[in-house]
Amino acid sequence: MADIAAAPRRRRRRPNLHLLVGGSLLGLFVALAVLGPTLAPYDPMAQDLFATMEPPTAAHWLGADQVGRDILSRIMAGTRYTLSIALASVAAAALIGVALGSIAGHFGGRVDRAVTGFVDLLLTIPNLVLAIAIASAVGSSPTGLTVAIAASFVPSIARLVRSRVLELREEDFVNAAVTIGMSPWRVLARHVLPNAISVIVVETSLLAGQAVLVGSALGFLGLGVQPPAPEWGAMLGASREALEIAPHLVMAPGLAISLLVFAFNTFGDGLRDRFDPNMQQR
Amino acid sequence: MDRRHFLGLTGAAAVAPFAQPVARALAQSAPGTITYGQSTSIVTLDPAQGAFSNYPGGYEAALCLFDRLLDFDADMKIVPGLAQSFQLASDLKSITLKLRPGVLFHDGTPLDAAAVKFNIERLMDKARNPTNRPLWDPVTAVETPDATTVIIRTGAPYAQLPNSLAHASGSIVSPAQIAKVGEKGFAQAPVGAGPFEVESFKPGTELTLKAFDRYWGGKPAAQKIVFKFIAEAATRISALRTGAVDVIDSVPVQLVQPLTQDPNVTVLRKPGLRPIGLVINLTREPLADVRVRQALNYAVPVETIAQRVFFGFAKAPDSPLAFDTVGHAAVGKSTFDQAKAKALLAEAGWKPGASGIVEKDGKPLKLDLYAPDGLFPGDIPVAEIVAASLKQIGVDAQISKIEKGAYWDQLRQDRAGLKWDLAMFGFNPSNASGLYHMESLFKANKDDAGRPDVWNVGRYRNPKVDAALAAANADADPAKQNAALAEAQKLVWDDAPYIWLQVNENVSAARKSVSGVEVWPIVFTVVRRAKA
Repeated sequence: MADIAAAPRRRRRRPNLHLLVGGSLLGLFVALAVLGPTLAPYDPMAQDLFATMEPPTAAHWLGADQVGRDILSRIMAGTRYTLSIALASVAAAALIGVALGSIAGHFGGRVDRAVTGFVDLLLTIPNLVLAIAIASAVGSSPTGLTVAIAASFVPSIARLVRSRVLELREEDFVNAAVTIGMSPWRVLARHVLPNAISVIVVETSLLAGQAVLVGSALGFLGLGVQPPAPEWGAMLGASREALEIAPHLVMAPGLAISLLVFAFNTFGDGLRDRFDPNMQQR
Repeated sequence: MDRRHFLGLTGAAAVAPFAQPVARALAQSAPGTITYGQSTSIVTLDPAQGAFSNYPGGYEAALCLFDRLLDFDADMKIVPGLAQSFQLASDLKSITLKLRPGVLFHDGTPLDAAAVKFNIERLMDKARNPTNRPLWDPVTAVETPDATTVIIRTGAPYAQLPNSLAHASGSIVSPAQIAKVGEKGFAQAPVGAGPFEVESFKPGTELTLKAFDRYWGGKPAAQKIVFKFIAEAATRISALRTGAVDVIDSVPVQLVQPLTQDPNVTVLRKPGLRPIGLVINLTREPLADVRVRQALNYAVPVETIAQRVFFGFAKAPDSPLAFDTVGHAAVGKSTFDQAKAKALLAEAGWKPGASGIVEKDGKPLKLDLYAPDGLFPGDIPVAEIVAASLKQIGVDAQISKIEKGAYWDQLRQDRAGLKWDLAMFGFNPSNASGLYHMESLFKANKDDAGRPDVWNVGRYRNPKVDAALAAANADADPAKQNAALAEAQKLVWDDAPYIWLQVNENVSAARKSVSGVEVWPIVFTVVRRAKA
């Protein structure tokens, strides 16, 4: 049946491995964040001073930490902190970034210059310095950490959205909407933003990976959650002096962070492959 | 930053703090040179104008650079220094010192009675010397009958005057240098009469001292001493093992074991004088009841903390003073007894309430526990253990980890500004006097509403303790002085204004090629008599 084989076939989407692997890993982490404390074999705060720095055993699969808490349970319970800080900061950054970027791009002129100036100003404040400033002013807290990370992500989202909106503004369907007398806000909400969503989704999923990393780095430096909460970065920071004698203390949170960043990045890559028109032409 | 680099960075984040500065530790020491990798940086070198900072790094350098009228040996006994003899008057209101003749400062000017008078008056001046006030406030006058005799007078009997003169803040500086560089310039260009003089000084990074040829005590054993600031413990240790430095301080106890296996390294340990504890805020109503405070003490397994968290490099205390402090008396015992703790709470009216937390008049016993990260050995893990232990007797202690730089200020607030109920603290009696220690921590403040006079931050107030301390200060007989001090310790211990935790050992290390490094009980690692 050569004629059938030769017939033009609909181009089939290649199975998206990135999306599959990233998505299922993320799903696992989300499940852990929700169920972690209930699934954990031990109370993540329960101490056993006679098991301090115990290497992995049948009782403690990933060993015990400096005050004898089960590391596996702490990693499981800690997923909640890391994931919620990452998601909250990215969500906040996306909300503010999209608002600023689309207003700047859509309205142009003086509005554009003012908003862009503000965004550039934000770009000059390193998230580390901001997080330390917030921590010393109001004490370390997950909220302060979230604000610091979000503030550092706003510029990249705002700039991306602005350029996409500038592009869309010249499209015929937008011009048509303007011509029939739609209000500028309505045009933005109904015609421009829906077409910018794919870039926003891809960008935020990639930023989420970065948020995990920045959040853990700040936790490592002692900012963020208060002890004895089992945040991964803080676990890493608290154990670094014991690296030589009890490497398992550092290994577990290090791997957990790597895996979550990997999940977000792979998922983001998958999303980009799916949505980015340039990638589909391959 | 490219997102594809993030993954690699995650792994690097765990390793970076150890790997990076090791590369910087390049050159091996030249013969006769001792390189000391310090955990704190040296920023200023002036006994007045804010004193040697940072503590203890600046003080350790000061002990090489300056001499004092009197001195401490490695066991904190007072020995002659620039004064070859001294006589404390029987009324304890003056001291007569006979200076060593012919002593020169590094700049060649003579160290005579006039120079000493200049120095003491500078230390007395609150404007020029705002720190270490408890040591210098009692001094009222200096007299110089002749060029080698100095009489220092105090307003009230003050038995600790020799301790003040031997303390590093009593360092004698060159008046000619102050005239030359000014009051503010001296901290960066110090001139003393100690065994070493400054060769180069990069504040915050490195200080190089060279032997002073005309030192009165003969040429020192080492030709040069280099102080290098290395913040990270693991980096200090690898610098020592590779020979990039010869001496390091502040070895974390969990890293001692691997270090003892290195054939080129000697671990130096010395029990400290700084008892760590949690100050109890006595202005809080529930904590004003001594039964509650005793219950908190019974709830914490101090012995187990010393063994399991500090690997035996710490001991449970038996007094508000550390074991080796002059005047220490064993007045109590740390006991872990949860049943007794619960009974004491019940006696004070605290009954088990919802979710296991005790209540009184419907209010749960909830305490804010402040702890710094990295100021005291194992501070956060210990705070976590305390919080978990208190939970077991039904006390809800919430930890607030406070940034190191902001911590002292949070402690020394006026009464209205106190935000903590329990706060980790340890006082280091740097003049080696138990009396000074007790007075700094437990003498009633002049005004409890204002900022504490010294370190009585929990607002402890017991007239009997004040009377015992005053008696100790007025008695020239050491036996009677110690008896009064012992009484004060007993009273304080029984009042439990602290949750007494542990007394740590100071652990330093040196390469076997270097001898004569001293670890003093007051956290100083002293290299002035070391030999390469």
